[in-house]
Amino acid sequence: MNFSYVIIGAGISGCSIAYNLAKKGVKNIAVIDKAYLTSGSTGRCGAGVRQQWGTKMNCLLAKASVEFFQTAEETLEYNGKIEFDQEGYLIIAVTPEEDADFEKNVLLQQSLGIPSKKLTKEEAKQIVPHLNTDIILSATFCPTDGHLNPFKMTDAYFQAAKRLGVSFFFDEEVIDIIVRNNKIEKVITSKREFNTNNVINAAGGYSKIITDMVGIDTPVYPERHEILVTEPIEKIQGPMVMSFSKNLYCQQVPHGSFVMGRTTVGEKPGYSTASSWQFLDEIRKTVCEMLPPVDEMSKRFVRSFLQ
Amino acid sequence: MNKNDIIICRCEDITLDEIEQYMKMGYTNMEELKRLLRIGMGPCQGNTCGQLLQRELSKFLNKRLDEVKPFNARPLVVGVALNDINRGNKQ
Repeated sequence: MNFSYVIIGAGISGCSIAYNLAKKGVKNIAVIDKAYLTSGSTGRCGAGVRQQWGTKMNCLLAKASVEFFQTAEETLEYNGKIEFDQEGYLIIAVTPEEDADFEKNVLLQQSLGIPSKKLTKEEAKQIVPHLNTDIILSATFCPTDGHLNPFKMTDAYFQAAKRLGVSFFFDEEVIDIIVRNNKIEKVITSKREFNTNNVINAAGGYSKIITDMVGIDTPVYPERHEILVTEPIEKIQGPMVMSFSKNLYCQQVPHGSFVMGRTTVGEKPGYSTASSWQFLDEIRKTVCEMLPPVDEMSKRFVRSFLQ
Repeated sequence: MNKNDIIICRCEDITLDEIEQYMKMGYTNMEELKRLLRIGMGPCQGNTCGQLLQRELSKFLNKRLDEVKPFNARPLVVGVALNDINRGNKQ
C-alpha cells in the first residue's frame, strides 16, 4: 500500500495532524496505532487546558489551542460534545519563590493577550471557597482556561479526518522503518507494509522507540504519573486548582467527578502503567490539607489510573 | 423490548441502543466504547456491564467471547474515601 504520509499514533497529536494535513489537501494519509483511539497518554490525561505558562512559546501554543477549542465542534462538524468548559485554572503559590515566579509569568501572559491575573489569597478563596488559604501565599487565575474531554476531542478529529479520506489502522504495531540512502522507504507493522517516504512520529511517550528504528536518538523518556477519579457529586468547584510545590492538580469535571493527580517523586523513566498504593497515600495528604471539603464531599474515589 | 429501554450500564445509564449505534459506527473495542460512552466508568467500574458489553461485542463481531478483550481492571475493588485512608493512618 502506498501512502504520502504515515502517522504513528492515534492520540490527540496523531489525529489532529492527520486532520490538518488532509484539510490542506494531502491525499493518502495513514494513521497507525498499536492499540485503539486514545489508548496512550491522551486517554489517561487530566483533561485540563491552561494558558498559564512560563515561556512565550507555550503561552502562544496554548492560547491558539483555546481559541480553536472554542469553535472546534462547529469547525470539525462533530455530532457529540467536546465538553470544553472554561471555568479557569487557579494556580496556587505556596513558597515565596513561586509567588515571585508567578508575578513574572502573569506579566508575560498578559503581554501575549492571555487574561490571567495575580490574586491575593482572599481573592482566591472567593473563586474556590473550600480552598485552605492558611497554606498559601497568593494565586494566579486565568478564566478562559478549563476542561476538555480528551476522548471526545480526539474522536472529533478522528471522525473529521476519516471524512477527508484518512485511513486508520488500529491494533497494529509498527515494528520497523526501512530507510535507504537517507530516505524512508517503508513502514513495517505487525500486519502489513506501508510504502511511504514520510513518517510522522506522534507516538507520545513511545516516540523514542520509533526514532530508534531509524537510528535517531530522541531524548523523550516516558514517566509514570498517577491520577484518580471520584464518584460524581453536586457541583462545588469550577476551576482546576493546582500547586506545583504541593504537587497536586484537582478539578471537578462537568460529569461531576473529581479528577486529581500528582507526580511521583523519584519516579524513574519507564513504560510501566501499573497502579501503586503509595500514590493514594500521598495524594490524600495533600487533598485533605489543601481542599478539605472535596474529600468530605466527594466520598469515595473509584479508580486510580496512569498518565 | 425496545433497545432504548434496556440499560446495560446502570451506573452511567447507558442503553443497548446507544451501544449498538456506536458499534455500527465502528467502535468495536471495549476501551473505546468506555471512553466515548462512559460505559463502565461509574462507581462499580464495569463489574456489571463489563460482561454484558463483552457479550454484545462478541455477538456483533461474530467472535468468541474470549476473543473480546475485557476492560482493563484497576484498583480499587470498591470505592474508598480518601479521608478514611487519612483516619486509618492516624490510628
